[in-house]
Parts: sequence; C-alpha cells; structure tokens
Amino acid sequence: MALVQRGDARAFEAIYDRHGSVAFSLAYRIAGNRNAAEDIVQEAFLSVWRSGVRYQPERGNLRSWLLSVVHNRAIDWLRRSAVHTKRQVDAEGIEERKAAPELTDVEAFRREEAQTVRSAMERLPQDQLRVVELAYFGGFTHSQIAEMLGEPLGTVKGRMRLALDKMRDGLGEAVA
Amino acid sequence: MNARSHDEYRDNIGAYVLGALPELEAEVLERHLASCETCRADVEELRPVTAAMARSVPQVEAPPSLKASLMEVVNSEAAARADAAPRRTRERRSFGGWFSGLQPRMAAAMAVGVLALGVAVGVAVDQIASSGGGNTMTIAAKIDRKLMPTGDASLAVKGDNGELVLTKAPQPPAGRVYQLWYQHGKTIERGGTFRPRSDGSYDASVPVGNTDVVMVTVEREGGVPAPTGPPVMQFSV
Repeated sequence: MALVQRGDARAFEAIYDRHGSVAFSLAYRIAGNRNAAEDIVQEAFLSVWRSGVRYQPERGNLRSWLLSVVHNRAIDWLRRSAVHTKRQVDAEGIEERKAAPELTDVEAFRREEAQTVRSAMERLPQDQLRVVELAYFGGFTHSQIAEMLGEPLGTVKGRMRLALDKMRDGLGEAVA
Repeated sequence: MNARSHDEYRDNIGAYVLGALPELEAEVLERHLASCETCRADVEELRPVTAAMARSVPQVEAPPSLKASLMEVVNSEAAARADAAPRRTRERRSFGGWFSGLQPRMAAAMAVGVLALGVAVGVAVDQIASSGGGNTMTIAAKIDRKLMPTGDASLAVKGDNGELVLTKAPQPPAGRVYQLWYQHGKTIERGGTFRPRSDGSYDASVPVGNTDVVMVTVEREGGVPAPTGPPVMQFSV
C-alpha cells in the first residue's frame, strides 16, 4: 500500500486484482445494478489511488479497509440517487460464482467465511436483522428506518447495537 | 464530558458502525471518539463485524471494462506524477510492530512475545516486483538469517491465490517441520506443514485472499495450533 501512496501504478493494479471483485460484489449488493456498482468501485479505488483516503493498518486489514471505502461510497451514492426505495436485486444478475467441481483452498476459505457470517446474521431475531440490513446494505439512516418501521428511534438504535453485539459474540475470533 | 452526553454518544455507536448515522451526527460522534477511549474501543470492537458482513455478500465478477477504465486513469496520472517528480527510493518497512497485539484465531495462547522478539533481528529487506502484465506480484521473503541461514523464498500473488516457492531451503531438524500461518488483522490462522524436497525446493498454492502476512515457523511434526517460535520467513501481502 505504501507503494500505491507513492504512485506505483503496478502496485495499485495488483491491489485491484486482489480486491476488485469483492469490492464490486459489495457495491453491487448495495446499489443493485451493475452500472452503479462500476461507478462506485471506480470512485472508491480512485480515491485510494489519489491518497484522498489513508489506510491505517492498525484499524484492520487492507481488504476490510478497502471495503469500508467502497461501502461509504455506495451509501453516498444511494443517498444521492433517487432509487432509495426498496430495491430487489435481480436474481439472475447476482449469480454466485459457479461452483467449480473442485474448489480451490482460496475459494473454499472465502465461502466458508461468508457462510459463517451469513449464519450469524440468520441467527439474529428478525427485527434486529431487518434494521441491520436496512442500515448496512440499504443505506438508510437510523431515523429513516424508525419511520419506515413505525418504531421509536431509541428502539431502532437499540436493535442495531444488540444485533452487532450478538454477531460479534457469534463470530468470535473469526472476525477478531 | 457529562454522563448523559456520554450515554447518548454510546447509543449512537451501533448506527455509526453500520453507516446509519446522518453525516452531521457522525461528525459529532467522531469528535467525541477523538477524546473518549471507551467509545473508541467500542467502535473498534464492532468494526470487524461490519467488515465481515461486507466480505460475506454473494460474489459477482467485476467486468473487465471496469479495470480497463480505472487503469487508464491511474496509468495516465502515474505518468504525470513521474514527469513532475524525481523517482523516489523505495521505502524500507519497519519490522518492529508486525506482531504487536496479534490475537490467535483459536483458543490456544500464542507466543506473541516470542514472535516479536524473533523478527526483530536479521531479516531481509522487502523486495516487491510486478510481472506477468502487472497481474502477478512477486514478493520476496523476509528471512530471518539466524534461523534460516541459506535458501530463498518468494510468493507470487495473483488475485486471491499465492504460489509459494522455496529454493535451497535447509531441512528442519529431526521431528520438526515448517508450518504456514496466515495473519489477517489481529488474527493468525493455522496453515499446513511441509518439508522441502531433498534439494531444498518446495512449492505450494496458498490462499492469500484476506491475508496481510504469510509466515512460516518451525514446529513439531504434525503442526501446532499456534506458533511457538519466531517466523523463519514471512511475506507481507
């Protein structure tokens, strides 16, 4: 990453090669369409390239940090755009990578990790899962969510916090 | 800071970590975080959860056109920067902090102190080179020459895959093997064990998708759940 901050295009390309697809997947999950996801990822990676944002290793690994940059850009995009209604991602467009006859260690590791997280989310009470999804993937603010659900703001904040605490406990050292 | 306002800040931390605080409120909380260690620790505890959520979404291949348009901008800006400034020398990375604060994924206690002590001496300087049209990055090992006086190693990273190659590596002592470790964030995950061939060569595919550092230690036959000694080599991915 230090090389990227000093303007090494090849180092940047290597970082994109490693993290571009997972970044695109997150942007697509949030934006719900490919064109927007491309714009979001391009904007996020260019902000990294131009050093407008700085990586702080003590706050997590590079992939997590890049994904937080992409997430912020995606939420900004959602809030700027007029499509901030309930979106349904086209099931045909969001194909999971095809299962290879023999999974590589890397794919197996990634899928296992993703499955662990999804399972932890599925174990949440429905009302907590809903506020988490509306917030993190839907880009809605806590007060918007409170209004949508007809719940007091304090209740929504409480559910968010409870959900995150449960997930942290459920995932344990897998996310440490 | 009074108790009431502190509680109000804490009530907002979940929403903040999820990105659900309106911008102005997020800025207010961030100002509070700058001066409140308790709330800061709270945020840091929850951040890995949202990071894991981000990684867990169904995977979709990014279109090649995205990379092409991105690299067009990047290459053109890199060329402009190169024209504007003299070439800079490559920075040497400090080794001191690599292992501070690591947490093992498994319950077994990890000899962090031993690791930190071991890597502080005798390691090679990081060398990074790109090849294969810029898609593969070959990383030279940082080798502790007190522990592995001969041999060399490199890790070719392409996407989430790494190809580990050792040459002329010494055999570990009888009853001992080399063991791989994958560090991401503050977590270290256990990898497989191996012995080089009789000529000291060895190669294997290793997963580096979410890995910051790949390490190799010498452990007892069969491997151990957590490293017991300093790494003989490591790759900063």
